[in-house]
Amino acid sequence: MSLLSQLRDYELRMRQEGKKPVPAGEQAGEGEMPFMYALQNVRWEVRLNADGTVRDVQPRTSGKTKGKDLGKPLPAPNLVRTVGIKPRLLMDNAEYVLGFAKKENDKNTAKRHDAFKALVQACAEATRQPSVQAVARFLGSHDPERFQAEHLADFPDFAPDTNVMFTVDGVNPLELREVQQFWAAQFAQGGEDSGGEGFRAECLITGEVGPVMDREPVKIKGIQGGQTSGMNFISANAQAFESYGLEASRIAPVKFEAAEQYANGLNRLLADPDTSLKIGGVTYAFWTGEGAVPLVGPALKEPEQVLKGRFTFQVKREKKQRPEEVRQTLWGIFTGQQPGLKPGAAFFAVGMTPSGSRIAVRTHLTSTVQDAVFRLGNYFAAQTLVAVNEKDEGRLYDLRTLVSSMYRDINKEHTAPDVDALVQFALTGRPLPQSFLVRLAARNRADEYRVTRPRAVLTKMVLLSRDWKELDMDKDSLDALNPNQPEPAYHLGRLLAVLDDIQSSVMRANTTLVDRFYGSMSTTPYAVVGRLIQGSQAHLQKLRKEKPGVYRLKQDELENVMTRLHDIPAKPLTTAQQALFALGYYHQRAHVSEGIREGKAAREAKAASDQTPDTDPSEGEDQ
Amino acid sequence: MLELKVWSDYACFTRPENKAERVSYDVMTPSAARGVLESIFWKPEFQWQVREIVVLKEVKRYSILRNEVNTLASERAARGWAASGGGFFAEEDRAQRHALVLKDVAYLIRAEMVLQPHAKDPLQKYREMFLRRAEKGQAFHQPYLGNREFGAFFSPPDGTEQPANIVRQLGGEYAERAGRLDLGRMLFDMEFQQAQKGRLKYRQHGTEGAWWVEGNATPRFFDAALTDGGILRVPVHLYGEVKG
Repeated sequence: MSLLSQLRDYELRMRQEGKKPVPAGEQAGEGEMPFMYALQNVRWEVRLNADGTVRDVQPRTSGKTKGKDLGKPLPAPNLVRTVGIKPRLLMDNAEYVLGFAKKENDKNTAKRHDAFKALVQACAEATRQPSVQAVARFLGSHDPERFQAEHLADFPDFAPDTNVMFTVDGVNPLELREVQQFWAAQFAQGGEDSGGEGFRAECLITGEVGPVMDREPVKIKGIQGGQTSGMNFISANAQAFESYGLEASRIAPVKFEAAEQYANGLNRLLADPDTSLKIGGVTYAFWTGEGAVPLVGPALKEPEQVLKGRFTFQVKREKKQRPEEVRQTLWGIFTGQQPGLKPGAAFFAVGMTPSGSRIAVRTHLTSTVQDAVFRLGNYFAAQTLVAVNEKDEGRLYDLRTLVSSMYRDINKEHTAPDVDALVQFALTGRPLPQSFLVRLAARNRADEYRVTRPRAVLTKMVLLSRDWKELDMDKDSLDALNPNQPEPAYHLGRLLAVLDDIQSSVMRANTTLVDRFYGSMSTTPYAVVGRLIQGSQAHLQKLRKEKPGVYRLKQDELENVMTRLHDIPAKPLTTAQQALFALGYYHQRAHVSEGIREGKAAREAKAASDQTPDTDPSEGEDQ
Repeated sequence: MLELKVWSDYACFTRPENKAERVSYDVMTPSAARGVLESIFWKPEFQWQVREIVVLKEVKRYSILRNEVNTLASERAARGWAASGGGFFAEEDRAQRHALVLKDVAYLIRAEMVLQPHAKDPLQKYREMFLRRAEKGQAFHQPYLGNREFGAFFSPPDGTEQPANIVRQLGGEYAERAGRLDLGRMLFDMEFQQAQKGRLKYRQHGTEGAWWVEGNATPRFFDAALTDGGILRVPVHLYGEVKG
């Protein structure tokens, strides 16, 4: 199905279910919005008598005390207006309605006011509603200066750019069905009855042959980094977009009503943080064919809060969580929060980036609700990893943290492709790009913190997401230290961590072994391993003389690693091997710090039991 | 039924609704397939009618940024350049645009040749000509898949071609059980109609040869669906409605 018809179906379903539209992020009134109506802030109400004379002017306040008061929201005729003169019916800004100039000596003010008057006149003739006729009569004899003097003396804050509406003896003509039909008919372009020279074609969404739109009636709002006044889906403003002599939106013929529906459907999704995700320059919308929308966006953005610790707790307790269990847990959490989820319903996701005033579609995914949630479960299961610090144990990362682990300063980078790759991996299991590993390796070499936990997590996710034929790796146990990992690169990483641990237990160096050798060790270990091991002999010797207990422990650990390293690869490590090297280094560090924590706990327990503290053999520095 | 296998590293069968910032259809459209066939062999005496498009590889979407120009090169502009000795500089007239294209594609096109009323020779002649040309790799211009920069390779099929299971890939278990995946409305082709004041000029062919006419072109769509794993069948009646 095409994206636009999926969005339209969603909007129609929401209307059927009686969900209120959410234009401009405001709360809507009851019931369905009339065609080409939107909630708009109206500041002033001109109250008329039935004969068209003015009773008084009433302010309508939004209740906001900060900033400019734009008035109380009201469903009113809406249209997209740029430079041309186009009046809204019976409600517009004071320039259109009352002829008050926004700018001094603006020639167009009179034209705008005349256009508004003409539209109201036409409406009065067509609908024959007394209230509309009263407004028309008022406009016929309206004089801006007199009106200002007589009725606006009490309102010094009256500004020409605020909206004005009419009521006639308490009747709001905008609520009349006839008026709404008249307004809707303004947009039925090109029909034979309107006599317009419209373009008739087959609508690519509904398949009906008839008049199609020239311009999109509703703009899309809420695209990150895009124009705040709204963006277009279909438009052609340059020759190169046009084809076969078809201009503007006619390049893709769509019925006007259908265009209004898909645009409102997307606006509805983007206005709700539960169905959208705006991150790293990409804006996503998520929706379903049936039932509730799973909280995919919030889970990717703030996993810790949305999953409320239940998920992390389980991961922590078992250390190594089976993906199957994680998926089931996640499904349970989602259904618990949203009982309306339907496992078999279609699940849609679209990722968009701005391009001028147009929307570029980056991703368009279709799957089922259950499948999407299960894939998301795999995504979180792939994040399980031991931690160096206790507080990081079982922690899950949001998209931004993961992406920023690949860059020195994420704010200076174009991250849309990375964000998109992660979202696609999270929702469909599409493999993560190999370029992630290249960037991570570069950060690991350059950054003084080396392999941070987010970097290790992302490295693990990339390794899990693809098949590495050249890499001899046990995929099932990348969560924690695995001495049986066949690939030597992994043990080289461990070796570096062990040697560093030996150095730091002897001396406190300003520039540590890792600072000096991480780069060369992770790319060309053959060149440095010999020197490093030789250098560590002096440290071990010192340890043997001063702290024999510590010496035994470190020597054992070193032997453990060395027995796995039958031969050192003579060639430089490949990108994948470097990634596994980083993981080995990280695992070993986590293992060392866990040993320290255990030692400390044992020491404290001992101290508490016999009150005779003595020197502990497992003393070392936390790195 | 004539068959032709085409493949390429990339393809972009642009959806009309995402034309400025391109998004490709997941499957080759009938008009793109016609374009490929016409690039290999076409004469005014017959019309290509695409019957089936078999998708041979799984759908892989790929996102790229490209520099495209904003204006069309018109005949008048070209005359101006010829006179002044200038030319068109793409560097000064370009915009960077996003495209969601397909990567690593292969299709089997099954099509019929249908003789036009003014044809005098038997269909067999043209069929044989096409087969010889396809066998030798001859083409009037190198065929491409959607966009000119995605040049395509072609050959007669060797008989081992099997549709990839796109229905499952794109539609999941449910679609696979139903044996059918609805792709929504897809561009079928452009319909040309002669008109007094048309938006464009095109060549009309008949017994007296070819001549220029003024007219309009409107896009026609059809409800596309994949069946049998990954076969797009084009309803024959569409060609009755659209005179190309």
